[in-house]
Amino acid sequence: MTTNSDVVVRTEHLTKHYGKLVAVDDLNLEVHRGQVFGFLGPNGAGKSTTMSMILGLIAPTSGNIEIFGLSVKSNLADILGKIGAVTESPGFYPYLSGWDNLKVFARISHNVTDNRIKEVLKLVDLADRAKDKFSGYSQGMKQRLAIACALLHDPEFIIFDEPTSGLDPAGMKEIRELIIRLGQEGKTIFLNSHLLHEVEQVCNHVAIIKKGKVIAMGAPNDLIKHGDTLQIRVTDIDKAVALLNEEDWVSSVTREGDLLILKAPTERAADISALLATNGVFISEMKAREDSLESFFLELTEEETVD
Amino acid sequence: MIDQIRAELFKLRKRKMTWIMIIVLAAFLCLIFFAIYGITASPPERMPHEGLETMRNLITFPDAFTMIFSMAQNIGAILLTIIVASSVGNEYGWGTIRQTLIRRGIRYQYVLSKLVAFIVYALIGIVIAFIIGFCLALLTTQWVNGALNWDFMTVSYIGELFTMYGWTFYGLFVYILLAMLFSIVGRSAIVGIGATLGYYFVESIAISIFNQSGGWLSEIPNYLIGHNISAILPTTMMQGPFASSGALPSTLYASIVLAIYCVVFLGLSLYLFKRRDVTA
Repeated sequence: MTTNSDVVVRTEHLTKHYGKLVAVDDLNLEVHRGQVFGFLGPNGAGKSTTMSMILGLIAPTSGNIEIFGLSVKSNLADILGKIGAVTESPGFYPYLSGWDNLKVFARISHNVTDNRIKEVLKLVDLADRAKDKFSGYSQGMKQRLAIACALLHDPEFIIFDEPTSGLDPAGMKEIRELIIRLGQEGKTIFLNSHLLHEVEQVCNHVAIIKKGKVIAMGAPNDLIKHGDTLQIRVTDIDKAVALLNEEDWVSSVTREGDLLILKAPTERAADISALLATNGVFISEMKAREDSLESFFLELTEEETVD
Repeated sequence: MIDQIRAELFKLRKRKMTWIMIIVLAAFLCLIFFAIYGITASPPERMPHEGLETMRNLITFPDAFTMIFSMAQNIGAILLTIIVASSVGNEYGWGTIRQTLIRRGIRYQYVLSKLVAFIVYALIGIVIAFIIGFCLALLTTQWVNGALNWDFMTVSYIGELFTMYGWTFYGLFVYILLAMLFSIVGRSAIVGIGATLGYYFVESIAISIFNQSGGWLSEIPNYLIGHNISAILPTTMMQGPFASSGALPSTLYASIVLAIYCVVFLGLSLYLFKRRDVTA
C-alpha cells in the first residue's frame, strides 16, 4: 500500500490543448519515491509537454499536478528546489566556460558551493574541461554538463528528457549507468525517452503514452508478460492464417516474411499444431518468442495506428 | 532575488559584447570630440562666426558636460538596446531561459533581476562616458582655450551635473524597458533589436513631420517617447541626428509621460512573461 508521502509526482486529469490540438489528454500518473520511472511514447505523444508542465514551464489547460504533495500551481518555487531536470538539447551560455555556466546556475540555486560544482563536474567526468568554453563542447560533453547542472543542488527527484539524444554508444552507456547509479542512491527518476531498450535497461516502472493518453503502465516485466507470443513456419501460410483467425484463444496473427507471429498462450502450442495438421497444414518450425518492451510498445502503438 | 541579480551581472560582465559596447561608446565620443575640434581648428571659409563659436563651446568646459550627457543618451540608447535585446532574446535562442526557470520558477524575479542588471550597466556606462568625455574635454579645452578655467565648478554646478546624470539615465531607462518588451514579445534578440531601433528611428522621423504640420498633428509628439526625452535632456545642438525639433513640453510633463511608458512597458513584459508557456 502506498501512502501520500510515497508519491513524488501525481497528475490528475492533466490536459493541455494548443488550439484544437490535444497534446496531453486527461493524464493520470503517479511516480513513487525511489522509482526509476520511464515515460515512453512515440515522437509527438506529449512526453515533453507533460514534463514541461511538471516543471512549470507550460501551464496546463486543466487538471492538477502535485509534487511532494504540493501543488505545482501554487508552490512552484519550493518544489523546484527539490527537482533537477535535464531537458532535451540543454541550454547554456556559449560564451561562458562549463565552470562559469554552472556558477551562474549555482547562484540561482540554493546553497551550492564551489566544492559542489567541482564534485558534480567530477561525477560527469568534465573536471578537466571545466574551463573550456561551452561553445567548444561536443554533444556528449554538453549533455554531461546538463546532468552536472541538474545535480548541483542534490535534488531528490530528477527528470531526464531524452538524456542520450545525440550521444555515441559509449556516451549513451555512460549516461545509462549514471541514471542507474542515481536510482540506486535512492533518487526518484523520471525518464522521458523513445529509446525502448534504454528504458528497459534502466527503469523499474514505465508508462506508455500515445496522443497524450496513457495506454499502458506498470513494471516492464509485468507489461512484457502481458501477451504470449509464438513464432511458427508453416507449409501453407494463407490457410494457416485463416484457420488460426477462427480460434478465439488466438488474439492476433501477423506475418513477418514467411513466419507467422501468434499472440496465444504458449501452453496451447500442441492445439495449434493439431489444428493445422488436421487441416493439411504442417509446421516446420515453432518456438516461443521472447517478448521485449519494444515489441510490446510497438504492438500497442501500431495497433492504435491501424485503428 | 539578490542571487539572481548577481547571476545576471556575472553574465553581463563575462560577455564580450558588454565591453565591446563600452569601447564603441568611447570611440564615438573620441570621434565626435576630435571631429569638432578638427572643424574648429581649420573651419570652412563660409562657416559663420556664431556657428564656429557654438562648436568650440561644445568641446570646451563647461558646455562640454552637456554634450557628454547628450551623447551618452543618444548613442547609449542604441548600444543599450543591442545589449538588452540580445541578453533577453538570446536566452530563448540558447534555451537558457528554461534552464533558469526550472531552478527558480518565479518569473517576475527573472524579469526584474535582468532589469536591475541593465540599470546597473546603464548607470556605469554613463559614468564611463562621463570620464572619457571629461578627459577628452580636458584636452580639447586646452587646445581651444589654451588654459583650463574651473571657475564654473561651483557646488550648485556639481549638483546640476548629478541632475543631468539622472535625466540621462531616465531617458535610457525607457529604451531598456522597450527593448526588453520587444525581446519578450518576439522571444528573440533580432526582434528586440530590430523593433526597438526601428521604433527609435521611425518615431524621430515622425516627430519631425508632425512638428512641421499644423493643428492637432503637431500635438502628437507630446505623447511620443523621443520628444519627451528631448525635453528632459540637457540642451545642446549635439542631441544626435534624431533629436526632436519643435516646442518641447515641460520637464515635469515629459517625466510623467515617460513614467507612464515605463509602467506600461514593464507591466506588459511581466504580464506576457508570466502568462506565456516556455517551450523548447
